[in-house]
Amino acid sequence: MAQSSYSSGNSTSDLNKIVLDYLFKKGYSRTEAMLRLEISSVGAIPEEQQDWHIGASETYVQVYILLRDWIDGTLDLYKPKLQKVLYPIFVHSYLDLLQKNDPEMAIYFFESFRIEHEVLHGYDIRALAQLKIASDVEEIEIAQLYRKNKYRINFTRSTFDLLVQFLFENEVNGSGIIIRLLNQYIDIKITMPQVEGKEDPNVQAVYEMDEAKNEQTIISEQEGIPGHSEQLLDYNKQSIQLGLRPLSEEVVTTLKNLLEVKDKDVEGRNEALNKILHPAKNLVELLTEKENLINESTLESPSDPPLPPTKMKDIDYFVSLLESEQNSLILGKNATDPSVFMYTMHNTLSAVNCAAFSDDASMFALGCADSSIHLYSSTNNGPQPLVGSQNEPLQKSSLIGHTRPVFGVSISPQKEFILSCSEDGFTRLWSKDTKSTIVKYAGHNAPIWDVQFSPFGYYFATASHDQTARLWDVEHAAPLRVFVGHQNDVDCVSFHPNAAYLATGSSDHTTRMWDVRTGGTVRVFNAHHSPVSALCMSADGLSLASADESGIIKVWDLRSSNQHVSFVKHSSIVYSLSFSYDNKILVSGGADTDVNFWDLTYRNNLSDGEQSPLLFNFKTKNTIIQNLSFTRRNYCLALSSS
Amino acid sequence: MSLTVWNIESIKDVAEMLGIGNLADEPAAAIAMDLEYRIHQVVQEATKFMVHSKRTVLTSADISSALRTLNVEPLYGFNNSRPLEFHEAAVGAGQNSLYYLDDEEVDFEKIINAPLPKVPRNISYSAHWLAIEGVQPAIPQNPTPSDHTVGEWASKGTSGVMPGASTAAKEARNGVTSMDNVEIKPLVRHVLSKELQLYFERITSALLDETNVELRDAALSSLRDDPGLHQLLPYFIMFLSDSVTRNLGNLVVLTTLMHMAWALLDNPNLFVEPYVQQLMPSILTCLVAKRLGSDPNNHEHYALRDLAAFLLGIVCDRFGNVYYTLKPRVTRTALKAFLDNTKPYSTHYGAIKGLKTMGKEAIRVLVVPNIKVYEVLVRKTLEKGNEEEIYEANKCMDALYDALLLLRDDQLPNQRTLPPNASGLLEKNVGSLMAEKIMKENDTSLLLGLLE
Repeated sequence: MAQSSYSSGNSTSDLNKIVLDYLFKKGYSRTEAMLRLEISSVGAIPEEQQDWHIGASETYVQVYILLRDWIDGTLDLYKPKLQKVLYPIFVHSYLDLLQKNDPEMAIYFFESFRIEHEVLHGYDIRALAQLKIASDVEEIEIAQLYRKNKYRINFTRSTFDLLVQFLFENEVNGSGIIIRLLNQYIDIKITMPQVEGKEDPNVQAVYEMDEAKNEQTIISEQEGIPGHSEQLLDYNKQSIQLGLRPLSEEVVTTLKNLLEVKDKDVEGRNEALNKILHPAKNLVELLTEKENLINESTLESPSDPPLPPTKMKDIDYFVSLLESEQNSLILGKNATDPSVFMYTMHNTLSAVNCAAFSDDASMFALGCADSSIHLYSSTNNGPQPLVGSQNEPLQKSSLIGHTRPVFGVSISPQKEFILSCSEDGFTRLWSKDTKSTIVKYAGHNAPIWDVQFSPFGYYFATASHDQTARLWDVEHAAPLRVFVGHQNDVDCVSFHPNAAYLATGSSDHTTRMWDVRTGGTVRVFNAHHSPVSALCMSADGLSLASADESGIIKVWDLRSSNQHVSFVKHSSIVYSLSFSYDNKILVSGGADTDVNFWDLTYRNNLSDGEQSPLLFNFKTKNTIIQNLSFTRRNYCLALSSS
Repeated sequence: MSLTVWNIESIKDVAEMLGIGNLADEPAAAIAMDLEYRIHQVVQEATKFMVHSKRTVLTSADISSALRTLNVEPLYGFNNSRPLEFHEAAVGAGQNSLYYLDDEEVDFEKIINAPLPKVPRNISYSAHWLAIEGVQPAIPQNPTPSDHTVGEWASKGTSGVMPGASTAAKEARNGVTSMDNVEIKPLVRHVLSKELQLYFERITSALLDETNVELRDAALSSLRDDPGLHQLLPYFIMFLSDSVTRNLGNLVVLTTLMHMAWALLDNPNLFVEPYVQQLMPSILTCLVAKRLGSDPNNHEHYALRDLAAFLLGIVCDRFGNVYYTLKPRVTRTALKAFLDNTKPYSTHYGAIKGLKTMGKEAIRVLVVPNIKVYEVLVRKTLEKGNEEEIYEANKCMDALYDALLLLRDDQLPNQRTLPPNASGLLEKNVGSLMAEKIMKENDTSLLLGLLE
């Protein structure tokens, strides 16, 4: 068909045909592709062949689906870049259909595919929805904005070659439409690939706040239409309720009675010992202060998720939280420097895939490549018994049941249960006491990469290779919510401390925040340039830290949509992040031998200029950091494997 | 031809193996491209399993997991323990090389009767503090900080200034060497502890840091007041000597080093007496060296020479009785420098300051008779020298005047009167230039002292 289109015409067409035939016979497919691209941009097509070149209305739908499906099937190396080209093709196809005086097909096209671009380009999508007839394209501002300004996209050479090759292979299917749109309305720039921060081995903190426009990569030029960048910012302006969840009155009453007894007990013991001990505050005062803090906060608290009735174990859990808070260290500058207690696993043969510490630092769990889970718990009943116990043996037990490697473990806040997820696609709930499986959760049909209990137990979330994250409760074997939106594996999850939101990190380089109650996305953070490998939510619920496979850490301020800080020090993938419970310090560790402590009050001292956000750097003896956790008393526990 | 790295010859070879004899180039190229895509796809999936297993090395288990995820039967017979061997097949002269994997046939009976492999050791753990309140403890589980700095300093060679430098350097080298090789018996009677080595390293690097005044002051304060430094004293003395020699062009460092000497002398916990002989060359160098500092027009070297003269006084006052030849030798050195008219005025200035420190008798006996002769040199400079030389000559004359002030007559002035020809007599003794300066000051007691 392409051959016959040049059978008649002027001498230019004849000459082009001869050259194309020569290039085809000699096998210079790349040169042939470039010549075809130039021919289509010259506009030397005779009038009688215009309809083929522009295409029928139905061809727009077919060729868009073709392009989208092809991009979905490409390698991860190219997919995030290629997906950027879909939106301008979508917009200009819609405008073309309107100008062809086919409003029904235009509206059909628009409604079929708008959902895919709503998240990142919702502002413009809503404006474009107002277009109805051909004259609207000439009159309405948003249409002219797109028609009269080129949409800029940055490609690497190999990505661009891949796209060009696909378009020319599918000319019989109408991809010439896309070629014309690319030439007329899209400005493609070929860039050299760079890695952020690699040229500067020193500690680097990049403080970025793009209130006026969308945040873009530092190295590349601005993408999209120059000066028009309200898209992601608009989406991330959705209101979210970041306030912490107050305890119910019934629980508070029970707690106060219990705490008063405890306080009297402490006083009595002190009098009996004839000592005068003055803790900073007693437990009742601490509880009252905490409740007042939540009630007086300007942040809105979400409505309560359905939870089972409070048991005595939950009350004990709350009491232990307050006791830990009473004795916690105060970290940061002009205060105590951090302490790290490290457990190193030997003879692992690289078989330890994941690790998790319990909330009260009394046990930790390992997930292994041989499908087993190992639980190490302390027999000491004191506070945070794992810290500082070099010579005290831990009780070890094994949980057997998975049939494939285990990739994630999580210990419930009340220490009753352990969750594990595996390559076999199942999540299992284990009893700490009986060492057996209680529930086996099926729903993912692909490896599950991460699992995490919600802050109060009962609910948990899983992240999977099937590009979804799911919400479960421990009593039902079917998922309650399926979070769909990531375009690649979901690699890590982290709950907000009020349990109403879930953050997920993905191999599509983005981090999303979901409303657990509705299952919808409320935030998208897309500043990383490699898959997100670690996530952590701060204890006050105002910050989210994410790290990627190149070692870059970003801390997001959830109250403001586009504000974040970058920490660049790690030379390899970061596996674990943890906030201190006073929200002043972030700790990170990964495949290099570094444990880094970052000062989160750094932003408040930005005027100092030369001050570095890296507080401390500790090196291990060539071991991989599997997990880092701050205890509730603000000691840091580390687990590494050799 | 195509984007793929696979060539169509490989595709054709595989096709022949499957019984397809005449595969054309175009389908072979298409298959090659598809093949490359599939391989990329498998490696991409395998990388995800590698990352989630917290490894940075891809294993055959990752490939198997990736194939299973793609609903493909995993490969069998591959493991990580034995490297793959490729053999080259014999082909025609004009064809490309063809390689193949050796496909070993395994006998079931051999497998069944083979002894079981050794059971791998069980996973175990160890626990330790990686950091305590921001400090990484020096325990075997933590990496050791490098302590090569002390060794590097000791191995930089010795100074020719000190007679005992080679002995001290040898001691230092042995002290450091014994940390590396426990079998070598150290020649010194003591081995420096790690803490003292670290302290020495910190102090010496702080003293040589020109940009941080607070750090230097803290180091000097520590040297002046801290107990327990006696073991480090010989190393400090040698460091002082070596650093003075190597930093003659750096006024800031030289001044700091003189303050270091002052701190060591002032520390009541240190017994400096045995090391005075090694200390003197450093002080004398800062007193009478031809040039101190890199800038000839920088006049701050006069302050350094004054400080060195002051230190010289402390040493001679404190240890002059113990080493009874100390003052005569210092006096002789200074006088020799003063009377050598081939040396620059800066050296003369230092020498005059040094002689002043030696006391009144040294001035009366050694300096006064030579002022008239020195005037010849100064007058020549005042007539023909440039501005800088005139300045330097005047500095020397001022220094001489300051020295003469020691000779003031302390008897009651009422009982004596100036002789009628005082000016002439003075000029005869100390030359016209100095007489002019003295008469201008109209200091009666000085005049009487000089005219006794």
